[in-house]
Amino acid sequence: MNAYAPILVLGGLAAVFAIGSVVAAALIGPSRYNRAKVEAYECGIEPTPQAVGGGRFPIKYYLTAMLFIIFDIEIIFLYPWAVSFDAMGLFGLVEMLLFALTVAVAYAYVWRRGGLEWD
Amino acid sequence: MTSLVQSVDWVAVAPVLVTALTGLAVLVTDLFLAPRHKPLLGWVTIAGLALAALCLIPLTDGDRATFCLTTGDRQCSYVADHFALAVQLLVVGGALLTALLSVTTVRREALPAGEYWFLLLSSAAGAALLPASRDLATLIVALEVASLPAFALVGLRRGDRGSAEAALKFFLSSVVATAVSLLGVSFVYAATGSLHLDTVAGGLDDVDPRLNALAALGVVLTLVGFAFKLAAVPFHFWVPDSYVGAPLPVAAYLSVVGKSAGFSGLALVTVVAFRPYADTWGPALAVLAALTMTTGNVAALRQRPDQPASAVRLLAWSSVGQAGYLLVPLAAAGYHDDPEEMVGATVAYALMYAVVNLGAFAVVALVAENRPGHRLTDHRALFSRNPLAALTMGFFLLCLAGLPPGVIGLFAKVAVFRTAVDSGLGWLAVVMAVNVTIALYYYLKWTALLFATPTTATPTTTPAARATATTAPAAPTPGTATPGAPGQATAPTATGSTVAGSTATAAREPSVPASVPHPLTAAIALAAALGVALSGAPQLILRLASGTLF
Amino acid sequence: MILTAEANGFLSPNGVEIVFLLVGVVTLGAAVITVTTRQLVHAALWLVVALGGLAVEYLLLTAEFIAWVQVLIYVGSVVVLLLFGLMLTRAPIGRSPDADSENRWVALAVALAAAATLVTVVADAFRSTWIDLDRSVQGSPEVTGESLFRHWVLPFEALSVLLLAALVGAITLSRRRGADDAPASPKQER
Repeated sequence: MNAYAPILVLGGLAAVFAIGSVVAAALIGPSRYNRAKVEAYECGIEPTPQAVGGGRFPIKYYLTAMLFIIFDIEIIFLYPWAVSFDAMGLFGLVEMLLFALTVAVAYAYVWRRGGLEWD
Repeated sequence: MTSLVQSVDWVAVAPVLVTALTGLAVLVTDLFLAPRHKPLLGWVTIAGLALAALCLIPLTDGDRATFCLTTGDRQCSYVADHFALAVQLLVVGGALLTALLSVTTVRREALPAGEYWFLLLSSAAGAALLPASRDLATLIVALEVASLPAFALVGLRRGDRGSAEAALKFFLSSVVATAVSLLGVSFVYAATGSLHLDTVAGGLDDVDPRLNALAALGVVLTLVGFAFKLAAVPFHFWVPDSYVGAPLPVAAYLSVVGKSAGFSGLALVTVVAFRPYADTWGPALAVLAALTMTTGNVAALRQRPDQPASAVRLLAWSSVGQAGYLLVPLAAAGYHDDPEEMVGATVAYALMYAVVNLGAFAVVALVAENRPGHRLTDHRALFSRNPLAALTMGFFLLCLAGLPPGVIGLFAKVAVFRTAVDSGLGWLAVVMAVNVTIALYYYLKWTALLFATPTTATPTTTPAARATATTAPAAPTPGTATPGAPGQATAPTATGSTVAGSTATAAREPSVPASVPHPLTAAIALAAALGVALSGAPQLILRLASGTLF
Repeated sequence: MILTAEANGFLSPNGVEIVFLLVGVVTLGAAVITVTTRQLVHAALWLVVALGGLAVEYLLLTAEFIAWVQVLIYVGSVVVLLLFGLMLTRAPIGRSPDADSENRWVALAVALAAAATLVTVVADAFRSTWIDLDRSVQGSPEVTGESLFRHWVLPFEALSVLLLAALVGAITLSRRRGADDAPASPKQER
């Protein structure tokens, strides 16, 4: 548990910085408005009243997110496997290889079905 | 070092492994296969399932176990005992018949071939793993492997709102049921400190009195997920819509293999793991059984024969009713001194039901070749159009009803009935008897419809058939044949003698494909042969009902 | 966790319990807002708070591995998928009156009854049970990994098939009649 103390401290620092800069800007920053300030920053897309595609995302995003979850779950199993790898030896390696190969079929499937093409 | 890891008995897991590997192979092959070769995938699937069935043969001693713990009392996660083998035979055989049924459907409805066969095989692999698993973690994972592909299979008919809605309903309610089950498993684990069924039974025997309520709640909640798969009554509402919305072979698959996942899981958790809590789950299952068979049969009775998909709806509700019979021996196990003796009757009944129900679905598919409405009225006068199909259908229906010449249906029902009587569940036996009588009515009505004269109603037909006769002319869907001219061949039969007639019919009706559904014929022939063989030698499966399978 | 208390010195001996309770209250509050707010996107974001709170609770109970699963899978990807799902549909980003159902009172009754039953049973069962967080660390990745890869090989491998089937099923259902099907269909019709 001690190992998480630095993370806690870091999280605290981040929160202090985020809240602090917002508050400080409101308190001590000069508030002079001009047109340029309400526009998109530098090279951003011009905002339109109606979002493109009625504010809906293409289904591609969903497929990518699905793929991400599947491999996320695979990765989460790699973590304890890597930690206890020495104790497992060859058996553990074969076991994880079988698992990873099966899940890799999912990758091949999406790839061949054109799920990775973004046109 | 080697003693620390589990040893794997590959022969014992072969039926499951072959099924899963075939699924993977089919999926990968499909990715690199030219579209014109895609029909091959169906035959690869059928060959894989046949091989998986053959893999059961070296296991018949029923004494193999693998994936055992290396510490403590060496509990095993996978046991290939007689119970597991019998249910695996049911699952693999059921999937094989479903695959035969599907070959035509996949081509006709342009379902994505690789995905369809992969999902079917992975679901079958999960259902085959389930009866052999002996710990709650494997049970739940196997249950999910069996049901998750089924959701996708139900929704495969693209552009069909009914199909998508059915898949969504099925998915949402099933996931809730599994979540409730998982909660129950976690309670049981908290109370006993183990997930292996035998250790759980030991732990529940002398559970800390403070944890008593927790353990009892866990036991009840765990049953929910399995009862859902079996479509027992408070958890049955997804059945009619899913069956109608799904491609027909998938409905057949759900009614047989899906149910086997439910009852084998229920049998394992109740009889093996939760034995000390028999006074909790025994009455619960008895009430569930009574409700299930009554609701299913009464709803089946109320189906209007001239409505679209009424044949599938009737089979759906009758499958709910049959699930009630499957539950009776499990409930009886809760009252009997030797609960393991009871389970055999459920397995025997399920094997009978699998053969004849798949056969009935196959004939419905055959009739739908020319009249795709799946109406009961489409079966009117089937005998004059296709005598062999009508005879086999009549046989299947009589088996389901439990009347001679469907001897096996009668004997299986008697075996189930006896478990209820033997364990003092007289009221359940009475409820079952009443239900069998109710079911007789609609099965016989359907049988009578098959043999009705092809012209309009004659006074000799049953009142129901007479009522439907008036609506029959309006029944055919546009684009199909006008209702059967006498002797008109509608589909090839097992003899193949009407192939020419079928082709001629198809030439006249553009909507009916000219292909001869050999696989469909093979499925009907196989189911009929099995049904007749079992009726001739019922001891083949009734043997299971005497003695313990574990 | 006790170690932290000793190292920092500002938490009392049962400081873990205080933190646990506080995080629990926050999690419960976020969960209630998730199901009551009428803005769907807000609901998804409050869900992040609720799931994150659960992760902290796991961590406080020294179930380190489960805590990471909670953060990486639930907070990290399930909520993202949920947001994508929301944005795929016609669901409005702002207030959505459709999100209110006629069944709210039934749902409330069911939720309260279920919660009351579960809380009563669990609280009654474990009223006088204490976990010694110092002695037995059950939830670290090492312990989880060894038990998973030594004793739970079968469900683990079955899980890979489950994941693959889930992906294939989801893609098959969500994909519209794709370009690669078009040439296949006419050939198959013949």
